[in-house]
Amino acid sequence: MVRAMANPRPTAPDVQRPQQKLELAKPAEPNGGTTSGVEDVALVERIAGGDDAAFEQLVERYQHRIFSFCARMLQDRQEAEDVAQDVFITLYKNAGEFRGESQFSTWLFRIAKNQTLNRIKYLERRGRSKKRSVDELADDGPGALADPQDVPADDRIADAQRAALVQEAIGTLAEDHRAVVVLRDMEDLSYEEISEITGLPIGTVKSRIHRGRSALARRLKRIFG
Amino acid sequence: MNLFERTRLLFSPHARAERLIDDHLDAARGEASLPPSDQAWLEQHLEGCVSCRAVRDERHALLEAMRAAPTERAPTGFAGRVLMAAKARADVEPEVVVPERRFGLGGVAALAMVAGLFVFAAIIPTGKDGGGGVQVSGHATELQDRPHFVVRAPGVGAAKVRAQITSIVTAHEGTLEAAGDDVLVRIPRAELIGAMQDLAQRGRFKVSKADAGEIGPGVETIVIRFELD
Repeated sequence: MVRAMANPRPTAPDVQRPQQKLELAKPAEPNGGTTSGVEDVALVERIAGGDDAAFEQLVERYQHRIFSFCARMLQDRQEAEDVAQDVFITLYKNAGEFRGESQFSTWLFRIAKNQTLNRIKYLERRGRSKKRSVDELADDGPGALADPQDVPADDRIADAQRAALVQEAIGTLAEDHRAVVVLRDMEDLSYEEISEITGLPIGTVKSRIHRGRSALARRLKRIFG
Repeated sequence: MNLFERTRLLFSPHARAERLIDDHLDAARGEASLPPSDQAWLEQHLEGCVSCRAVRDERHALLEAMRAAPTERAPTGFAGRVLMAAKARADVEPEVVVPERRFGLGGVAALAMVAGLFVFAAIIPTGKDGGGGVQVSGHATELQDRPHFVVRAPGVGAAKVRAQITSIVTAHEGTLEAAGDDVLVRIPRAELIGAMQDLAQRGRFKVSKADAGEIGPGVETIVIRFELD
């Protein structure tokens, strides 16, 4: 959304300048950048005390990020909605267990990561691991995606196609690689945050990100090559 | 490719360059910068290596495309549904229910599930032709009866679910049948709402989408597929 608007078109890097900077915008903080870790912790404390309004506020604040992560992991909006709902219900039930030792967002993503991996295993056991084709993703229409306003129509089409191809390629990664790539390159979390979410050492996180990106680059060579 | 070749590639200058390119790109996004010696080595390597420059350009474009990919937005009304489900779920789990409120919140849970059933019954489209297979949540099943509902009880053991649904279904004149890991329940239409109310008050049951077809007025027996963990 904000990322797409701030950086609507990938630009070819200068091959003579390995020092180039990507100049990528940081993703918007949930709820328009007005939130902070302190506010999140205060809301979690209120939820633990039985305050449903605080819960609703926190859901509204994080719903799109968590849903998006689930959708990218599961490649299925219906399943993603189901799992995202379970993530927030887990928060509702276990808010009192949040000790503030990590960021709230990290804690929530850890729940989301665990539940999406569980759901993937569940679907695989049933032979129902569903992958969507590029055509199906394109059929979702603009309502299923973030607001692409301020982007010229032709660019919107190209971006949508590119996004659909990237999403499809991400779905072909092994789950453990998919999770770290999505967290790093789409959710813009740091190595350290991903390490906390996955419980993996930072070196392993970096290694998995590298292998995941390499696999993606191979699959998308016809687009980015 | 044998082990020797894989190992040789792993330690090749091109593989090293590819790893450093990733580190370099991540350094531009808040991670630690490359050590000066690695930075100098990478620059020198890229100057003389066309293929690694291409890798760098591809990787740069890939990362930009991923970061520019729009966030998938949660469906409209998601937050409200989550709140309703959280309250209903909290109610049907005894450990988090205040005893004197249990009956009242149980009613909320039951109403939520029953409301869900009415919604499903209202929105499910006309049945598909042929084959005997139906589409449930996008996946073909071989049910002979259609349409049907799908119910899950995530996090609840299969034995516990079987015990709960057996007592409820038999009380509502229904029948049970094992179907692989699942349980198929056939229940008289007139008993459906009552059975669902009982289920809602006893366990963590979630009615899933059932887009198999319309429940016409002539359908006397409703099929519910319980998917067990």
